[in-house]
This record gives sequence, C-alpha cells and structure tokens, in this order.
Amino acid sequence: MRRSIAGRLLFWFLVIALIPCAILTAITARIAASSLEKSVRDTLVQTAAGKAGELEAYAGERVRDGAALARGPTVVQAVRDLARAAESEDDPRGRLNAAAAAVTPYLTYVAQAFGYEQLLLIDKTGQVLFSLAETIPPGTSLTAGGLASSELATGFDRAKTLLQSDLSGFQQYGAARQPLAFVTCPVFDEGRLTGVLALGLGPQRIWQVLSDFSGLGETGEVVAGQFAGDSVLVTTPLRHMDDAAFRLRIPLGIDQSVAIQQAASGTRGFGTLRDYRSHEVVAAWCYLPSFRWGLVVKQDAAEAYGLVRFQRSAIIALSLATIIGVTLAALVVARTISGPIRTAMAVARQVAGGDLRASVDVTSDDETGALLSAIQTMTSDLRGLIGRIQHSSVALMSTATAIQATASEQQQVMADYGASTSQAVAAVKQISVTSQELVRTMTEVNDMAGRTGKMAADGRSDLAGMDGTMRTLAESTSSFGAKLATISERAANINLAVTTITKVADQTNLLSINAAIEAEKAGEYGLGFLVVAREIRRLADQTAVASLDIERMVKEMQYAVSAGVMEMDKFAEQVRAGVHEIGAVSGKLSGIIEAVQGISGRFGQVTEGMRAQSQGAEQIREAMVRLADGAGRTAGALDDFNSATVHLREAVGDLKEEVSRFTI
Amino acid sequence: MVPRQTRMQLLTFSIAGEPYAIEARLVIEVLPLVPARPIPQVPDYVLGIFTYRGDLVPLIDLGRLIGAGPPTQRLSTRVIVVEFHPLRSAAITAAAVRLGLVAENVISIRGAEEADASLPHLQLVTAPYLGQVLRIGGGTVQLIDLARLLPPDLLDGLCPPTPAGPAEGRS
Repeated sequence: MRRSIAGRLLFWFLVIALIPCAILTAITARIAASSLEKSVRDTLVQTAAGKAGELEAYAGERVRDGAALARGPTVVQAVRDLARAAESEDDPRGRLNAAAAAVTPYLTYVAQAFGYEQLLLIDKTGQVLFSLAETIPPGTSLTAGGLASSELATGFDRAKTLLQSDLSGFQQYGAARQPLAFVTCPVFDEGRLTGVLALGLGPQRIWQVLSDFSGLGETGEVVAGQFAGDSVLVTTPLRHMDDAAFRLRIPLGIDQSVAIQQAASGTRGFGTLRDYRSHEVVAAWCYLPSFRWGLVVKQDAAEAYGLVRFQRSAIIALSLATIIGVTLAALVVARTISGPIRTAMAVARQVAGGDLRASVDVTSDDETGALLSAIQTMTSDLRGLIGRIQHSSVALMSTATAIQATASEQQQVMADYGASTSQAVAAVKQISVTSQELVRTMTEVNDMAGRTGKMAADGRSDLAGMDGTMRTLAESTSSFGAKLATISERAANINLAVTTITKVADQTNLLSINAAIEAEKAGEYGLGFLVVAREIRRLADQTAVASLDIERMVKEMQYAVSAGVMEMDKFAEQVRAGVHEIGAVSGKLSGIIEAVQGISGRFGQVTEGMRAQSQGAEQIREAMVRLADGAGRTAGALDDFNSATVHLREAVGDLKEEVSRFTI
Repeated sequence: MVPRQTRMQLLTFSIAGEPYAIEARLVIEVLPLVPARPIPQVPDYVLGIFTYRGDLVPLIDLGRLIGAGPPTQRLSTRVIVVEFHPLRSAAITAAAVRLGLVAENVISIRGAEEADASLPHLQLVTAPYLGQVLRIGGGTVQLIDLARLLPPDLLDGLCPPTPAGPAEGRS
C-alpha cells in the first residue's frame, strides 16, 4: 500500500517536474549552442575579413607609393644617368659608382621614410644598376644566374611586360636578415620604358597585423601561407610555433591544416577541422590577392565551444538536483498520506474482526485526520449500537421465554377444558340414554295402561322408579351446568392469555420498528440488522394473526357454551315440568287405578313431554360436540402459536449469536 | 450478508385509513401512546407536552392536524419521536427540534428501493407539509415534510430557539 502510493507519487512528481524541464532545457541548449556557433563564426569571419582588408589596403598603398616614386623625375633621371654610366665604354664601374653616389642620399632618405628594407634600380635588360643594401650588389643580372627564378625576377618581368606596378611574393635573398617582397614599378622616360624600380618590403608590418589576436581568446591565431611547389609555406610566426615563419611547410592533400590549403588555393570558407598541431579548431579562411596568400583565422574548438560544454554540465547538475529534490518531496508527501491510512486500515481490520474496542489517536486536522476521526466516531457509534442490540436481544429472549410459558399454560388449560368437555359429553349421553329409556318405559306404561288397568299398580311402582330417575336427571343437569361454568371461566382465562400475547406482539412490533430506525441510522453497517428487524416484525405479525385466530375460536367456544347453558335451562325447566307432571300423575294414579280406562290420554301427554326431553338432550349433545370441535381447533392454533414462539426464540438466539461476535 | 444498497427507509402509518410516511432517518424512536400535559390556548391538534429522555417534547396529533379527527385508541396507535431542522421565521441558528407525532397503524418500515418517486411534489398553500407522493408496492403513500409541518411562529413558541439548543443525549 505504502510502496504503491509512494511509487505512484514519485513517478508523477518526476513526470510533472522533469518532462517540461527536459523539453525546456533541450530547446534552450539548442538555441544557445546554435547562437554561440553563429557568434563564433561571425567573430572568425569578421576578423579574417578585417585583417584581409587591412593587409590589402597596406599592399595597395605600398604599390601606389612605389608607382608615384617611379614616376618622380629624380628616379627617372637616376635611371637615365645610371644606364648611361653602365653603357659607357671606359670604366663603366667607376662611372656607375659615381652616378650611384649622386643618387644614394635621396634614395636612402626615401627608403627610410617609407620603411623599405631594400631599393633597387634595374635597367630594362634586367641588370641591377643600383642597390641600397649589399645583399643584391649592383651589376647582378636578374635574367641569368641565381636570381633568374626568384620572386624578384618574376616581379621584374611582370612590371616590364604589363607596364604597371606589382607586389611580388616574399623570398629570402642571399644573406639578408629576413625574406623580402618587392614592389616592382616600371620607370618611363619620355614614354619609353627605361628601367624598373624595385622596393623591398620586410614582413614585420604584416606580421604586426597578423599577430594581433584580440577577440580570439587564449588559443586563437592567424595563419598566412603561400604556395611553394607542392606544399604551402607558412609566412607568419605562429602563436604555438614562434619560428614557423617561412620554415613550416604543409604538404598539399594531407588532412591537417586543410584550411590553409584551401585559402592558399583562393577559396573562402568556414568550418571545423584539424590544424597543423592535429588539434580540432574552428576556422574561417580567405585569400589575399595582393600577396597571393591564404589567410586563416582559427580558434581551438575546445575554447570556442567551451560555453556550450559548461552549459551542458550545468544542465545535468541541475537535473540531478531536481530529481533528488522531487524524490525527497514525493517520499515525504507519501509518508504523510500513507501513515494515517495505515492506521485507519489497522482499525478497520480490527473492527472487521469483531473487536470494537479499537481507538484512534487523531493528531492532524487535514483530510486524513478527518478520516481517522470519522472512523473513531463510527467505531464508537457501532459500539453503542451493538451494546443496545445485545441488551435488546436479552430482553427479547426473556419475552419469548415468557410467551412460551404462557402458551404451555394455555395448553394445559385446553387439556383441562377437553377433559371437562368429555365429562359433559358422557353426562349428556347418559341423559339421552335415560330419556330414551324413559320414553320407552312411558310407552310401555301407556301400552300397559291402555291394555290392562290391572297393571296400574305396577305402573305406580314404575312411576316411583321414574321419579328417582328424574331426580338423577336433575342432578346431572345441575352438574353439567357447573361444568359449563368452568368452561366459561377457562375461556375467559384464554382471553386473558391472548391479550397478553397481543401485547407482546405489539411490543415486538414496536421494538422491530425502533431497531429498524437504529439500523437505518447505522447506515451500511445496519443493513444486516435491518434484515433481522424485518424478520422480527414478521414474527410479531404472525403472532398477532395467531392470537386473533385464538380470540375468534374462544369467542365461538363461548357462544357454544352460552347456547348449551340456554339449552340446559330449557331442559331443566322441562325436567321440572316432568317432575311436576310425574307428581300429578302419581297423585292421580289412585284415580287412574280406579278409572284406568280414562288414564290413557294423560299418559299420552307424559310421553309427549318425555319426547321433548329426549329432543332437548339431543340438542345439548350436538352443542357439546361443537364445543369439542372448537377445543380441537383451539389446540391446533395453540400448536401453531407454539411453533411461532419457537421460531421467535430461534430468531432471537440467532440475533444474540450474531451480535456476540462483536467485542465491546 | 449485506444486501444491495438501500437509499431511504420510510416509516409508514395511516391517517383516516390513508397511508402516509416519514423518512426513517428523521425518526429517533417509536413509543407507545403516552399521556401528555395539555397546553391552554393552542390549536386542538397540539395535545400538550410530554417528557422524553429528560426533555419536554411537544405532542402533535397528525389526525387532527390534517383534519381527519382524533385517532382511535389502538395498540398500533403510537407516538413517533422525530428530530429535524425547522425553517425558522427569523434568521436564527436553526437548531434541531424534537416533536412527538401521534398516528395510527405505525407498524412497518418500508425500504425506499420499492418506492417510485416519479410523482411530483405537492405545493398546497393550505397544507404545505404534504411532500412527494411515492408509489410503494401497489398503492401510493404521501410523504410528510416535517420542516413545514407546523406554522413557524407556532413552532418557535413550542420549541423556543435557544443558543444552547436541545441537549444531544444520544451516544
């Protein structure tokens, strides 16, 4: 449970926290990286373009200076004088030196003023007429000898043939301190080419421009190179290799320093590649047409993209910190939620096991606190309810026992009643037999009186016997009346018992309604008890119906007894009338004996009375049979009632057993 | 053991032979008919007050209130003790009040899942306490709205709204 809640919380916390964070970070990193790349590229390309522009401007300036100088009258005159001196027949060297000495001060001044390392005046055949420095002595020919294939010779040819100023490549000339590049300018005298002015430039000024690494960080540098056969000759001192200038050669076609190879071959570009040290660098390159150099501005990729790497590691660190923080927060939240739930679960298990003594400590006032307090309230309510039910079931049990005792008593009463009825039936039967016997006797008497008066004396004794019989009959009648009174009394007792049962049924019904109301208030926990309450109510209804049946049967019985009593009264009156008749008969018997013949009619009246008596006895017997019938039905109803009471007891027993499952 | 979910239990009874009902959750207890001490100068359906669990509770005859005459004295004629929150005439904290209601044939509780509440709520000015008519089994039963049973000023008089409210004696 706890692991499940914690796991889910952790999962969703991480999902909610990390997905937007990751997306945002990826977008930001991508934007930052591309913007940084763009800025690096812009810096390198602009630096390359700036330096190229600066060097081109420098070269153009130098070339224009040279052109202007070559057109100056001093130079034109000097070339004319020197050429003439060189062509003279006698002592050309001495005349040449003299002419040179004449122009040396001016040209020395010019060279120093413009910063030239060397200044040559060459005639149109390629012979050096004048040299400011000793490295190329006057008289040296450019068309033959060691200088024939030099950069200076190429520049001379270009100036002579194209008739315009040009800048040659750098080259080491003899014992000079440094390589020189020459600005070669044609010298015209009156429209004809008379010679070439060659001005030697040192590389310091260019190196100064190229050694400015501002904006290129710790590892950035500028590399310049020119073609030299099947390799590219680096023409600048390098940041990482001080003596590289005019010494380091990069063969064409290797995968190192592709940038300088491409730049020297005249292309312009940008890219990430490997330099002469085999380091990965970011480079921008272009071509310097004036110098015929390739120019590469580069920076180590590690430094250029350092910020991107820093940003990446910062993002990873931040993500790790977020994951740890989110995990801790999820665990804390899961603990605060799952703790009270576990407590509630333990209490619920205890209650489910039937132990209602469980109690909960409510410490917080949030939702879980409310849950615990609700469980606390529920448990205590349930405890009270079960307690009341147990109490009620005990009371119900004693009530059911009382009902059963009453029913037993009633059965006893019914048994007594049955016995009384049997006695009454026997008595009536005796009466009936006696009556019939009487009728027969009377008939015989009548017959005898009718046939012979002699038998009147016998008839008199018969009358005495009849008188005794009549007395017995009167006694039986009064005994029977007393028995009927007993039956009536028992019936009243039954009524009393029925009233008690009705009251019990009423109380049971009331109890079941209140139990159902309590069950309703107990909510879901009362549903089971609701069913029990409904069963109790049904039992109460059955009990009420049974008592109604009993009441009805007892009423029928009482009615039958009343009818019997009435019949008995009538019969007793008839018996009294019979006795009276017998008295009259007995009193008149003497007269009868005297006048037997006239007696016959009176005997007829007696016989008639006796027949009426017999009929009355028959009616009583029928009433008694009905009474016995009623008693039988009452016994049956009592059996039903008894079994209903047993049901009630069983139901109450089940209820008690159900409730005893709970410990309060 | 638990049957399906029941929504509402109804305590049913009769007035002049017609079936009526009250929601069982508003009923505290059903008692046998008890004698009440009469109160002078009140409508005839206020039978008086009686003591219930130490409190004095007004006893109302639903038969006379609805206009059907006094109830017959039978065992099933009983007192329904109810507790509810009345609609007070003044804006006072509506504390719960208790009433004893006398009705006939108070013998059963019916589950509301048997009931069909599709019939409309009655809106009678002369008898505002008549609520929904529910269909239970084959017949219909009239639900009594306890909150509108008595006129508000009569209820205020019988159960004066005190700040403390009636004591909660139930556990």
